[in-house]
Amino acid sequence: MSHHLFLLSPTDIPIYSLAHQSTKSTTAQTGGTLSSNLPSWSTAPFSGTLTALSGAQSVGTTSSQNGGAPKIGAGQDRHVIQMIANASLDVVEEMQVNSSAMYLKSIDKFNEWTVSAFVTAGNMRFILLHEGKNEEGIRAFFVEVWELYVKTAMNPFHRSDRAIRSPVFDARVRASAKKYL
Amino acid sequence: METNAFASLAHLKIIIIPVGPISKPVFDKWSTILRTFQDIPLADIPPARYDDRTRFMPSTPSVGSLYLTYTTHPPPIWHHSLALFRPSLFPIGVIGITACNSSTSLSLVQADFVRKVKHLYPYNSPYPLARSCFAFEDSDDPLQLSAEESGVEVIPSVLGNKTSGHIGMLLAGFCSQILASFSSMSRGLDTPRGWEILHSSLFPVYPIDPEQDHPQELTIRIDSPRGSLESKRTSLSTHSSPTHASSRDSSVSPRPQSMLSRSSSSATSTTSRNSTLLSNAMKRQSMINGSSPPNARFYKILGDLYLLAGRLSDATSCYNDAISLFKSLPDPVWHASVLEGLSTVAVLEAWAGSMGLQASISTNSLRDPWSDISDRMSMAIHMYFKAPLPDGSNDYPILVLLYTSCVLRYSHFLFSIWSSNGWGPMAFLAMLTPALPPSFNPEPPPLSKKWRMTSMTTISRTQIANVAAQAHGAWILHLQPHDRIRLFSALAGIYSCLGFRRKEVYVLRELVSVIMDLVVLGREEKREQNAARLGVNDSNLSDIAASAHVTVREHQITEGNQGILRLVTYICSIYGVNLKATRLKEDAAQGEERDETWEMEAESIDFAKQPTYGWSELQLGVVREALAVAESLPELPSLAQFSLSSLRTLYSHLGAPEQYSLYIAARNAIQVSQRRGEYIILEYWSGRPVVSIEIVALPFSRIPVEHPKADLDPRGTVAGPLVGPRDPFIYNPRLRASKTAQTLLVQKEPVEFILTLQNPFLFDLELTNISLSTSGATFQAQPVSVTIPPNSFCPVRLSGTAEVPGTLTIRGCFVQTAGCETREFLLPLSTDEEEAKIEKRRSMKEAELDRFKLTGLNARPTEKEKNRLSIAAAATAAVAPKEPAPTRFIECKVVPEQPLLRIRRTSLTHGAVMMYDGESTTIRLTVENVSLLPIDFIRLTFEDSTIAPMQQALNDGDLSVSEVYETEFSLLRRPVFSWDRKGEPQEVKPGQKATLTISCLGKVGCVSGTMQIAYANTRADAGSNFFHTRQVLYPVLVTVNHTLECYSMDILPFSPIVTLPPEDESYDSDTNSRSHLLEVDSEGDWCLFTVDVRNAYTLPFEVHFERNQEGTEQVSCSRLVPPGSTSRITLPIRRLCLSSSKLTEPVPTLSDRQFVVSKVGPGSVEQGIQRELFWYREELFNSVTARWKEPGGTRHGELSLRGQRLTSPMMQNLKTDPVRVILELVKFPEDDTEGDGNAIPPINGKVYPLPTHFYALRCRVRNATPASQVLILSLFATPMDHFHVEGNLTDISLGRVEGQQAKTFDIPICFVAEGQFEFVGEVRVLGEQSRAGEGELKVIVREL
Repeated sequence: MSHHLFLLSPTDIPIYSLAHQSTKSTTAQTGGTLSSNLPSWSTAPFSGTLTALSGAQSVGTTSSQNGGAPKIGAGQDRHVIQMIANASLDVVEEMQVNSSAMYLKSIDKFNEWTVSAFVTAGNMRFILLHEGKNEEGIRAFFVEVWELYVKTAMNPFHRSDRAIRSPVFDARVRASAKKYL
Repeated sequence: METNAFASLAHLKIIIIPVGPISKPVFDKWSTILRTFQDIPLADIPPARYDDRTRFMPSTPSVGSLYLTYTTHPPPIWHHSLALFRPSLFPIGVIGITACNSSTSLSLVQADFVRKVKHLYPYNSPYPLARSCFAFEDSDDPLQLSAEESGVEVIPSVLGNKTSGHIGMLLAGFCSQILASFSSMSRGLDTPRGWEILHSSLFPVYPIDPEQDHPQELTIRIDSPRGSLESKRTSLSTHSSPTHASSRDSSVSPRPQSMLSRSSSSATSTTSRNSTLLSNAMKRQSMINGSSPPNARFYKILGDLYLLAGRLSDATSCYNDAISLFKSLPDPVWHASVLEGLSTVAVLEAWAGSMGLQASISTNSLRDPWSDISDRMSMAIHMYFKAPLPDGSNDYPILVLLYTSCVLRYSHFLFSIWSSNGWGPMAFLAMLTPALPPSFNPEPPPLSKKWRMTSMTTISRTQIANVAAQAHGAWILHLQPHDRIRLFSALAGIYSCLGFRRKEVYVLRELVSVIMDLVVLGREEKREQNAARLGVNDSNLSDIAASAHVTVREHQITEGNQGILRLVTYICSIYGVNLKATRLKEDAAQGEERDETWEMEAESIDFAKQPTYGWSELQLGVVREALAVAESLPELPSLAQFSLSSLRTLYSHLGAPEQYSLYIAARNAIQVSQRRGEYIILEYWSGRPVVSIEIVALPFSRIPVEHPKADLDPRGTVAGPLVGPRDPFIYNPRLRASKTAQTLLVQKEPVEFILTLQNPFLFDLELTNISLSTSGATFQAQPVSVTIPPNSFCPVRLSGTAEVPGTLTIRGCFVQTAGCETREFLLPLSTDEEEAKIEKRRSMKEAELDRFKLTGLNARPTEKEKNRLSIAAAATAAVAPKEPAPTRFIECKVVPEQPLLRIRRTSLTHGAVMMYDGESTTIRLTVENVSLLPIDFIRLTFEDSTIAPMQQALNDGDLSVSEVYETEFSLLRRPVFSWDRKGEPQEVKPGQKATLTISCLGKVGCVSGTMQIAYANTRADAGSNFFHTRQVLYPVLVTVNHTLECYSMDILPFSPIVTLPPEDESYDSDTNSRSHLLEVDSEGDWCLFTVDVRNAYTLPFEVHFERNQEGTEQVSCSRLVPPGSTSRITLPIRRLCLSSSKLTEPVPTLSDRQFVVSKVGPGSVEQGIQRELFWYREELFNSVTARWKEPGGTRHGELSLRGQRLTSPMMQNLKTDPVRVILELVKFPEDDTEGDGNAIPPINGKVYPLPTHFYALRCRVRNATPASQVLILSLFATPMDHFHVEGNLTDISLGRVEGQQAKTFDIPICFVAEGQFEFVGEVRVLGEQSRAGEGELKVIVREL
């Protein structure tokens, strides 16, 4: 069970990101039959992108031997997760208008990922990609991250479009993730 | 393309193909007309002739219609396994369009048509069920050939406006033909064998077997010989198929058929109603009779066909039957399809129900009217998703296709309701047509409207997006590329309509990769084929080609490429990367006029500080992908453009190697394309490379200085060295004016400029061409190329020559990089106000970096810019257009050619002069005119090291008035260097020399000096009021040796009886001269001037003092002063008397400089004394001059006495008294007749009377002043005794004495003893204490 947290500034700049592997196992979603028995990989240079973006597993191992697109390849998985997080901003933007709550629970589903979001008053978006259902845990996690963020933002030298590099912040967010996710 | 409309299940698909000789415009024209028939009312369909074919014919009072869609492409081959499962996927009818005229052979056309149809479908396809070829007459002459024979529908051109109606009728007939074929198809399946086939696999294939007799039509169709009616007829007759008869009828003679349909509509109504009943009966019968279990799949197919035929109630009943059967026998895929069909029926029914009444369909139920459909659709999606498939099944692609199309159908359903503001006719219309709903046409509605849609329908955009997202998953890999492209484009379309741009872009990225896969694979296949074709010999070649990854473009059609690139650009723009940031030349030409000044401003602001937007990792990812796409297409101009643009926008996120590789990629792309002969020209890209531009000051000797011509006229006063560097005025308006004066350049002489260039990138930026952009006077500039090191500033020297005099404006410079267009960068001078404004804007921007006024996609730089422009446009529209302030640039004045002078030689060695103090020498400078112009004006000015301290002292103002005078005197009257213009050369011809003579005076303390020769050719610029001079400087080192110094000057009273001092005896040689000196005539008063002269040098000097006083003979006194010794010089001087008017004059100033009025009042005693001292001193120095001479040498000079002070006692000695008193002893006359006695003549200043004789002491008092005064005389005698006087000696009133008059007073006196007596007569002015005059008399009384 992996979780991916992104803190996005109002101008879509990621100021913090965290990948968290949870040890808790929730009921895994039973996938449909459709995604089984997938065809073997194509050797075409651009197929890597498609396999990755469509959410097929075990990506990034194959495309390195293709000379055509050497730049696409390893680390694609993370790239896809970022893409999904970025794409879910569309939904966040719609939801935050309607909802007065800061915590927008599982607003989006894409491929196997569920996206939960938390919007602060300063329009800072916390995006969490997760697989299972853990509404209360995520809420608690978000609230804690929010508190940590506010403490960081109170630093007069912090700029809201610059990445948070504070090790304290990082450690606390990790601890919080371990606790709730 | 296949449509994704919700109601596509109810659409009869017809393919239109061009047949025979027809041009594209003609085909387009007719196919457009054909496409206008989107639906055909059921009532218009002509009934079938035979009962067994009327199963799907409309029942007579039916209100619905057939929905037609037209395509131009057949479905891909792998879709054919869905032939039975989803008939709506296939073009059921084929219509060929041809143009014909009298010469056209219709039979050939028909043959072509048949052949083409055959190619469209695979051999085992049950379709097409109907086909027809429409031949449109394109000329007026009637067709000779009989339509009967060819099987082609000829639409005569005579129909004119009615053509459209005619086509409608033809189409109705065509549809009738299709419906008839439906019955035969269903009949074919409604047999035990058919059921068997239906259950043979998940997606059964329609049985096509020549031996089988069931699907006769197909065998006929396949066997049918080309266009031969005879053979068709025979085949018809052999197989005795009435279906084909009807089709033949309709195709052969449409007109009678359609007429029949109209005329016999009432007659056929009964039959059609019967047919319904019949079909129901048949159904039941088949169910009962069926040997196999009740066939749900068959009902499903039947339902599909009814749906296509527009018979909704029948479709519903069939579907319901199927569902009830599926409940016992689960068959999820087919079940799901039934649910889809039912949903479609529901919508169509609602549409039919709302046809007439546009108004409320609003139900009173609490649920949404579409909730049933929603439930069904979600269920269908779920069933498709969970449908079990055996491992290794080949049906995955088809199942995924069904699943995704179902998801898309559902999302289109929701989207249609949402976009039409609710459940209503508009929504139904939207569901029926694949086109965009009217609210999205021609442009998508603003966000506010989208919100309104959501609030009216309670369907949120997220909901639709979530439904659509279900189609996305790993299973996409199962799909064939064609289907993937369809799916992705449909998904992207939905997201785009919803305004979910990021999601849209996500899908578009996949779409691009699928397309690129196809492109690359296709190319590889081609290459393999080529290699195979070329054979062994050329395999090396192909190997090389393959190994080098050389992508070769096969053809020059770039439309497809452009489409892909557009997609890529769009993707990048959503991620906030403007791939068109650097424009290609043609783009730039048509691009909007950019606000040049603003741009400049924006760029001049350090562009690392631009507000950032977006997810840099994603940006890098998409940019890399875009480059890979452009590289593999290959689309070189775009590759260059993309790499440079991304370099420009993303350079802060890129590492050095990556930046370099982008740069190299762009450069290579440009080079390769140039090699190929396509010259792509890119706009200049690297931001703003020029930071500043400066003129390098000319070397001093070449700087022209501007003077007004009026200065040429000789003037009385010459501004001397008194004008110091410090301006006496606190505010001097003239100085300000001179500060803004233009830089002066000289025509035809090289000028240099220093450009500061910057390179923000992490690689060596090469600028191939930098040149100045100038206006005004013609300017020849040499362009240079330069490589700027990474991330640094680099100064570059540019040189050029102004050709013509005038004003030269330096606008900026042109910069060019390899392969890019030259770009001009303006460098305006901004006023302080503008600077402040820019500074303010910059700080505002910096402050805004941390504040977010725009969020999300609106914060993209391009959007921001748009926003800003629109605001600016609104602002300019509101406010009257303000005349923009003219931009100012660096301006220089180019003056006409100037002569050039240089110093050829001097009389000095090593530029140094050595002098004794006060010595004067001459220096000769030889100058040469090295230009081609004559010099007709030469002026020399000088500077030396003594000037500055004195000027400083003067400016400090702490000096007393006389000190000021001294200083000024030293500056003006005794300058170190001086040059007399007279007698010096006035003109130097080109190439000639001239000698200037400068006199030089040794002044102690002077160590250096500078001669400045200003010269000009005043005739060069005859027209203007100005002329220009240039200067040559010649520095001189000066050494002045301190030699003689004067000190302790004194002035002593002197009377001729003064005895010589005894020490003078030693100077025997001098005695004579000295005693001679002292021999002055006693006329008038004398005083003695003494001064000590010390020789501080190591050589003896002869000093020479000279008296030059009016009324006396000129006397001089020379002394040799040995080294280290001091000599006293004495010189008698006649006492002076200066008139009071002279004495009251203020101390003069030699310059016209300002001075501070003294605080002391004008009439004060102190001032009077000061002036008196000053004037007497001046008079003294005028009378006495001192000079020195080297004994036996030629060197001489003057000795300055000006360092000596004149004290008050000295002055008293110097000046004569106002009243003169002369005492004489007069022998008293012994008798009265003798009159006045004669005065005893003094001997050696003394008189010798006899004792006990009577004398008179005669006091002659003369008033030397012009005014009359009352005088009092007092006499003092020593000793006081031994003489007798008559009367009083003291305070004797003399009465008033007129000016310049004398009075005599006698005092009788008798000495009674021998000895020496002294009498001093003092005169006072009445009322004053001080004496006004004095006289003395020495008397020695002795017996004879």
